[in-house]
Amino acid sequence: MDTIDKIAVYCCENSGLLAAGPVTDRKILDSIEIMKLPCSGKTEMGLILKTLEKGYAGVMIVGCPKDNCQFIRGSHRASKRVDSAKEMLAAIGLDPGRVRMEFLSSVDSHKFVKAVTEMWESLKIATS
Amino acid sequence: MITAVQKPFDEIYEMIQGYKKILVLGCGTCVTVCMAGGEKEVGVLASAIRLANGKNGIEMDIAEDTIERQCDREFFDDVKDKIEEADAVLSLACGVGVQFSSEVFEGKRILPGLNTKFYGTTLEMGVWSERCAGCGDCVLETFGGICPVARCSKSLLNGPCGGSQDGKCEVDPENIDCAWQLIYDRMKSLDLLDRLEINEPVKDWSTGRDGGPGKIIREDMTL
Amino acid sequence: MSADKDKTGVVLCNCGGRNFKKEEIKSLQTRLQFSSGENLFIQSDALCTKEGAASLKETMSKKGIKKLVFAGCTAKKSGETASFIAEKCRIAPSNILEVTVPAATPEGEKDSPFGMKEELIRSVVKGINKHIGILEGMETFATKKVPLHQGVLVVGGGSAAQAAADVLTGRGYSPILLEKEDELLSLQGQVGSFTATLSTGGGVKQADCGAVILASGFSREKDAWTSVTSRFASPHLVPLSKLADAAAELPRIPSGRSVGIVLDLDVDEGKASSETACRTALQLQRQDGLQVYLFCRDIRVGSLPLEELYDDARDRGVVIVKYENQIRISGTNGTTLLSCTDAVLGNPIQVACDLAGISLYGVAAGGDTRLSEITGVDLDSLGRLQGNNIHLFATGTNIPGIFVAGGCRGNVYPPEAEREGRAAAGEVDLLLSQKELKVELSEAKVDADKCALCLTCIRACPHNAMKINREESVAVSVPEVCQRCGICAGECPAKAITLPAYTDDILLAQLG
Repeated sequence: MDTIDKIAVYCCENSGLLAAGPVTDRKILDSIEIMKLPCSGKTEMGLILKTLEKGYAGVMIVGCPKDNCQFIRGSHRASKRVDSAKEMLAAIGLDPGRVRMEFLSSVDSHKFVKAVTEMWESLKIATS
Repeated sequence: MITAVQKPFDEIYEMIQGYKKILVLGCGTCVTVCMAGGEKEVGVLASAIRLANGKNGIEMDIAEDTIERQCDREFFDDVKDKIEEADAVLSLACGVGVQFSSEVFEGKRILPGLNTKFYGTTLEMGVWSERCAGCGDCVLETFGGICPVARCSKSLLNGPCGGSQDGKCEVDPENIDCAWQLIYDRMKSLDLLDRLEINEPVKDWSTGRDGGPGKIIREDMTL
Repeated sequence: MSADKDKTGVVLCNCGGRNFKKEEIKSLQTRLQFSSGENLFIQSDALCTKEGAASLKETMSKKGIKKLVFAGCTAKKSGETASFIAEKCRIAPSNILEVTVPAATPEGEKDSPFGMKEELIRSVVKGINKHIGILEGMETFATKKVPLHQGVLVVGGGSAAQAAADVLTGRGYSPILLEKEDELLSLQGQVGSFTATLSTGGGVKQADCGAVILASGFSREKDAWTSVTSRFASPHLVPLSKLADAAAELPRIPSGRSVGIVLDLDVDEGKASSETACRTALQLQRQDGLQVYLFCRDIRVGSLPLEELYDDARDRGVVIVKYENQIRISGTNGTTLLSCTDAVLGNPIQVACDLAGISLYGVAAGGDTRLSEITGVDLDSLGRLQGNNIHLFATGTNIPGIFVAGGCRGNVYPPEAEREGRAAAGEVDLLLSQKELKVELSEAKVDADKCALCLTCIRACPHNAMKINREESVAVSVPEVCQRCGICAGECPAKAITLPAYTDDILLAQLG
């Protein structure tokens, strides 16, 4: 399996994508691959695992805060999918920290940067 | 419908060790509806196995497919080649499908990925509950539509046992309703309470599983 | 799921020559990757103008381009230029993807996030190529026109409903006003073409409408009172609305009687409750032999008349206690004990009342389950129609075409309830005045061969966009209701559902 030293970030276009827009820190931008979703609720286990199969270091799903999802319950569903994915990773013997759910709103660019930074830190600790 | 749950991952992973080519085969009917063995679950499981193999440095070819049902011969035609090429098939069908696949493909190792549970209903999305035990001689008319065979932990036919407390069964008071409480309430609402005073004789259990594996033959339908 | 043969092109708006020099554009153009090999690159200098758009439309139709990557500036809000192009060039909105070109910076400027121009070009090229890949894998979407029935159904007999009906009538609609919510028996169909079954006078009739306003008022009274009586055994409790009458029956004694009023029992209440409480308190305090104690977590007097009412009550001698957390109600011999902690000083306070009135708006019990089941509108944790989500406030719901106002969504204060009724009517007008909806056919698609009719998508869809097509035994998504969120596609256990602009292939192709 090839390894891609990046975190695949699936961004809801109403929150995550807009929060990621103003980010200019090259270190952050070069360490992630951003994919657009209409809603984080489109996330499913199969997509998360296939992304890891491609060799990505981690998968982050970014969606709206739970009571403020544009589509009512999308980020709530996404969060459940991410929890199931973590369980599956643990059962396989892989680090559950390779999948992460992040709730933020469209103006939370700082939270976006913080989340990516934190995830890299925990991934490096897990592999060290 | 028939409900099932996926076996724990380590049990499945243990089962497939030693084979070089595996086909993960899903079923598009009951186990799709109860979210254990449909095309989506096949994809997830296949990915998980590949990731585990990658981590453990194991070489294994994992193919995936899903057919409408694994309990009718004709549906296997589309995947005949894939099954023949595989060293073993990890079937995500219920116990019926796993067995029937083995009959159709003699000599092929078919492994069960699921634990088949019960005949049940969907109470709400993600929650299934047992309703029928397949006893072969339905007595629902006598009990107002609530089955004492399937839903009473002791399958009692003439009233509750002493373990019935606050409408709950002593086997698991948090999760199991006392079927006899339910029967009583139902018969009361149907104004048929006096029917429960009629003694229900010992059931002939041979009409179901206890009479040996069943078979149904409809002469009018055979070709 | 196959992408069609329609061509994907790229248009770069150079903002009047300000972003890139000629050589830089040439360099950019050679690095674009089109799967057909044909370099479908268009340059524009003023895409945000009518002329620019017209010229683009002509070029596109000459080259057979139906899907477009637009690379341009951030002058307009994200998405605005793209929608402008979509409209002027007749492309389906989902068939346009945007790449933002950061504002032009002189070469070598240190504060620029991209420093040298080359890096900027590289990053723009990367973005464009990614989007070319996405569009080449996507189908070209057709558009359908959905007529909007001009009828409006307003459910409710109070001030919010009346205010809504008045605004609608004033704007030329003929709303059907259902005074009692149980006159609505069922609601079928969807936005633009609802069919309501109504029970009226002697019989049952059907009415077509394009939109519905639910303004049915506060429904939880009975359940709330049942909850109070089951939780507190004291016989000296009455609903606040009945307190004045109950106090009249209370025999007076020389030492005086204590009367309690309790607000915010389980949840914080609003202005209407404060007004009722102060008014009732004042009325009773004015009578001889009664001392009134008003307990609340907060008193809401944010308007002049309310402020004055509150002052009058206090001047008259009403004792107003602001408590923190919960108030406890217990019964002892002949009296009701109200115990709490003062919110400012933290002192415990206990008053033995001969009679206490509980405001039912503050009790968490019951809910508008009937209307919720009929219409599909979510309830919030207090059983009120609408759901606690900022995207829905003030009058929206999870169901396109259905709006809420007033008491049924929790606002019983008449001036505000009326305002909401008028707002809901305004939303309806905004919707229906379009006469028809132009719907891009990019809604969720269900593969009939795989669909097991497990009903998961129908249950999971937050907007009730999924219906069952009985003839073909498959779930279908209604294009004018589907919000293209993809939740159904994510949940389907048979992988029978795809969201055409976000198929698995499109997503996975971006992973490289």
